[in-house]
Amino acid sequence: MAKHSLAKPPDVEEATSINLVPMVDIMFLMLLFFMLGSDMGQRELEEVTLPLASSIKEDKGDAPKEGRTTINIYHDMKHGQVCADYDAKDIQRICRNDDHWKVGIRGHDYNVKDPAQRDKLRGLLKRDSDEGKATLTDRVSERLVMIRADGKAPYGAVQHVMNLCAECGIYKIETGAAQPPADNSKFK
Amino acid sequence: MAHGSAGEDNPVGLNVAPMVDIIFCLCIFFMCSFHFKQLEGKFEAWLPKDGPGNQPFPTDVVVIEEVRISMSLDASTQTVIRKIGSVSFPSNDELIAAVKGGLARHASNGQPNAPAIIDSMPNVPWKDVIGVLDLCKANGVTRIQMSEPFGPK
Repeated sequence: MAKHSLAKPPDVEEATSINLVPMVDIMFLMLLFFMLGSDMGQRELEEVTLPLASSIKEDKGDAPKEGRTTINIYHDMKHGQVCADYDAKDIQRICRNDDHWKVGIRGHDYNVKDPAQRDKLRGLLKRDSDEGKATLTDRVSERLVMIRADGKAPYGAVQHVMNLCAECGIYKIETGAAQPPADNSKFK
Repeated sequence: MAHGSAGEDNPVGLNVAPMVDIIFCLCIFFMCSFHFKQLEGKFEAWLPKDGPGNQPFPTDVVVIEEVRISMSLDASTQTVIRKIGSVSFPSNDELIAAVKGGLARHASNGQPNAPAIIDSMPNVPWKDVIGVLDLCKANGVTRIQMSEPFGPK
């Protein structure tokens, strides 16, 4: 008995290792989900809180052969400054500083109150308009313009953009709006 | 030897650690940059083909054949005031009843194509303008126009 009690315990090497295969499987699935779900290709769409409307048509992003120009109107300040009058989540706070409201096309900002920038914007729209004309002598263009304006943007900014479109011969306008969350079934 | 595992049989092992690291990094990147896409729709509109301000103003007898919804922003309370004529309509139900009533009156007077005109001040939030537009469309008002402000731009 004494001999047994003094014996060394058996030297058993425990072969425990983490099985990585299920983790890798799950991570692959998560990676696929996030890759397919992210919309990184839509460079034209700025971060805009669209106004809600229930009677809108679904925007499938399809454009006529003459093309479509997307114009964003959104609140933006230089150098990451914060505007005390604007909060995207607070409906009551409305910023009415015209310099804070920008018109963005293809990643470039324009302030429509500034004559020089307005001329640049007009030139850009004129080029787009010319692309939608059958001949350059045509007065009107078949080019489509989608205006995506923040819900809190002043109506005057939208009017400016519409006026510029009309000056450039663009008459087909779409205004963007978002479906209220409780009524998403319409789009499915 | 017959009972040995596959790992013991195959001397070439696949080191999955770098792959897991990279997948972790990719996962974190996509998780951080991910946001659910908002369901977006559109209202279609047409601008006058003559360009802004080029419409001929009628010089003969002006017959009022429209329902004009005037919108302005009360700066002190930050609320939007919606009026038809001199009457203010704070609730949507009252507003749409007045619009439809006005259009019905014009239709009975032989002007079935009378439009509802949204005449908004430039400082009114866009969401309120879209709200009135949406209200009209949802209630079957098909002819809706937006007015252009007078004066220099």
